Amino acid sequence: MTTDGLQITGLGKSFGGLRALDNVDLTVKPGEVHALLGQNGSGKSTLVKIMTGVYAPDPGAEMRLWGRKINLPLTAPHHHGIAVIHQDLGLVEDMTVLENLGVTSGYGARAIAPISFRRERATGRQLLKSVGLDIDLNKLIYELSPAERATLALARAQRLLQEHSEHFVFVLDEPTAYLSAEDSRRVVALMRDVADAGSAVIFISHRLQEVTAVADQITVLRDGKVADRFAGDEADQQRIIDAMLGRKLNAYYPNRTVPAPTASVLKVRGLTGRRVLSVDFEVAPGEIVGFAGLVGMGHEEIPYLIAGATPACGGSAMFDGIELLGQSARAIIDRSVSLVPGNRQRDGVWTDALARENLALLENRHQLALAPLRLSQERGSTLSAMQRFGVRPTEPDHRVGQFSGGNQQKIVLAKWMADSPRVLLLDEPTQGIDAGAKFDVLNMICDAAAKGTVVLVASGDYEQLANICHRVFIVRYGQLSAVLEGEHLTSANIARHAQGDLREAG
Amino acid sequence: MKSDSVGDPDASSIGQQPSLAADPPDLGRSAAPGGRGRRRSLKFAEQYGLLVILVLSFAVFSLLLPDTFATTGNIKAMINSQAIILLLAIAVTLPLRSGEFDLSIAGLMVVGAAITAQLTTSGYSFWIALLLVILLGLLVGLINGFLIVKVGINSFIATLGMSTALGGLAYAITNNSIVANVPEEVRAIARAEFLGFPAIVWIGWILVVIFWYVYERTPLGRYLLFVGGSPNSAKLAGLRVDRIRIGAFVACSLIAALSGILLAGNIGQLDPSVASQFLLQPFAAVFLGATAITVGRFNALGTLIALYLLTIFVTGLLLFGAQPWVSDVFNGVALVLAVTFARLAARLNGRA
Repeated sequence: MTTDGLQITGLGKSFGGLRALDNVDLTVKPGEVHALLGQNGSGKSTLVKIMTGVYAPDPGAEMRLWGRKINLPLTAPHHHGIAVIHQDLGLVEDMTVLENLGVTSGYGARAIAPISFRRERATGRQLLKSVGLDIDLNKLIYELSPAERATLALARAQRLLQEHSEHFVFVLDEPTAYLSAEDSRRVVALMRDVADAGSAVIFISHRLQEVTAVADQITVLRDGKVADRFAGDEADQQRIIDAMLGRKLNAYYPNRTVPAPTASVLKVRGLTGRRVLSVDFEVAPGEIVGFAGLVGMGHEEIPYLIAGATPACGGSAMFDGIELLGQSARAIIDRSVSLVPGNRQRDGVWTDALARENLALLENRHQLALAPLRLSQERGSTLSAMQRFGVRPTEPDHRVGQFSGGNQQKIVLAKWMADSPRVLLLDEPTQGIDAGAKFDVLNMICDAAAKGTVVLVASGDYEQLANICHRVFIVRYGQLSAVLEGEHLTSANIARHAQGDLREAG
Repeated sequence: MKSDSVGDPDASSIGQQPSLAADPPDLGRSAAPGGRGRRRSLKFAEQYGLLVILVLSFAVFSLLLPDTFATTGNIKAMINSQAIILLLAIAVTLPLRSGEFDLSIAGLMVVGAAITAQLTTSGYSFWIALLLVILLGLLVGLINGFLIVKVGINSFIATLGMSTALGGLAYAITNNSIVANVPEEVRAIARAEFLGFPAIVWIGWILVVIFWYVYERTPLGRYLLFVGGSPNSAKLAGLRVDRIRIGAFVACSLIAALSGILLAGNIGQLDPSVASQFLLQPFAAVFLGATAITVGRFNALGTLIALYLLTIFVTGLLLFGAQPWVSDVFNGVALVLAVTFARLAARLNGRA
């Protein structure tokens, strides 16, 4: 019997026919910071959800905590000393530090028994001291810095765990994604302290510099399997990136056409939003330009800013000599600018409405709101759009929610591309869809570009960007830190530059 | 609006609309190719089930009570008694389709009636009363819309407050008493008969036809639904979401206020305390109606069918000698059952 903190063996999880996790082993010793890495969709979040009891793993998996076998699926993870701290931390913004510290533990009192505020304050001070945080207990959460909030969330988790267990496993799911470099450093240092105090820490991050700085062990997931694992001191970013990207056997990308050299039509100057700061670039017709970066660095904001879906704080975006920023959504659409949002179920379509109702929504603006709909014409045109974009089944009268994820995405594209837009703004166009649909979607995007559309893609899928884009801009801390094109445009180079590593990959 | 959509590929966010069946979108499997005939008949049963129950219940009560229920007099009485409820029910489908409640309709109608009754019995011209009622409707609709859409107050709370305030206002206008002897001129507007039914009934039916057209056959009907069901995608598609939602409140309030004129004319007098009798039934009819015709959506024909179904049951039970309180119990239970059925139907369709 070992005393390894957390031991998981043979962990698998299938969703329908999709294998999200396949025979994964993971061992995290007490005092160890163990980095769990992988691209989006590699199985990290599934693993975390099994550790919090959201998903039940497939039979055959085993989990041990400090040598003791744990029944799966997990019910109350905190009873076993497991705490997961998500990116959003789960603090209540307009309550005080003290109130937030108590809320998960019932304020140390039973349902209707009075709360002893004196004891609460003492407990609170002690907790803050243990994580080295010196703040007033009466401060409201929104007055705290991001690093202070993350630390507070950790202190709170510690309190909850103390009530049930002497050994702790902390899972920190991208705690630094939206933090500045300085705040990130503090959170990483805190992680080290927590591990040194004897806890097992699992650290999930896309920022490889932080990972290599703090991790004792690294496990890289790819397509639901462990792609590589090694000690922190033998890790370098190149090795991690190779393991993350892997060599996909059946990756297949449409042919890029080379746009005829023409003058730029979309000219962006000083574009400023909540994350991006004074960004300049120009795009010519037929060009596919990618924006890559780590989560929270600002690349994902650019399509929304140009489409006006997120109001820009400054700058200009001229298309054919006409300013796009500050225009209404309708005016933007009338200029033939289409935004395909990343969250299709919230922003792309209404899943409870029929396919044809969603597809006709943009067409409807050409008629008076009270003029009769031409339903047979609508059925015909949506049917042909669905055929053109390969939506299966070709049923305009099905609700969008009845289609598979990939087909829903094709419906979103059909909705926004049926009218041959002149500017196509995309955010994660292939997120959460299967390989076949992915190829179809990329094909549509490349086709549109071949016909002279200006295409902007923000994505975290570096391999995809490297294969469909003509140029890729790297965004770091809100600024364009690099542009890659030609032979320099490879997924490994995008990854390196996104990490802020300026050496070119070999 | 973006931050929670990045990173996690399987993060899906769920709207927070007061829809019939709060249903998280599923990454749906496409329907199996076989069993299409069975699906069709299921769909038919869903669409027309309520209508079939209406016909059956009418037949059963007619057989059991041939002398009291199945008489021309009783049928007319049933339809006439629901005329006002029908107007309010149709009005309230507007905000409900755009995702919001409006509980102020009954109070607003009574204030409209109080203004009409008080002014016309005191010798003022009917046209002045009409003008004031229209202004009242516009004002209340704009206030509701502003508070809910621009300020962001929960529609349930905002219109509950509005409803209570309007209830008090009705007493102020009528000096805490029943206003009797509404002039013939006003009564004629509600009571003028055509083909055996008074004008108030015809106005309701005409509204049903107009709203059926708007909801099922025009872009506006869809815009309302998209605004209620998926405000984000509506906004990105260039719809003026705020304007459509405020417009729904204004149109609803206008119909409710104008119904007040018909209420005063229909009874010939106005009791300022009647508002509470008109609040629940319109909602029961609209929610039950959403389980028929265009299933899962608040619609005009379904509302009409549901309203008459409820009336048949209540009247039938009363004629069997049930106590009058049965009516309230029945309508309340029907409202809850309607929403329950809607949820179950949605789950059956794989929507929940």
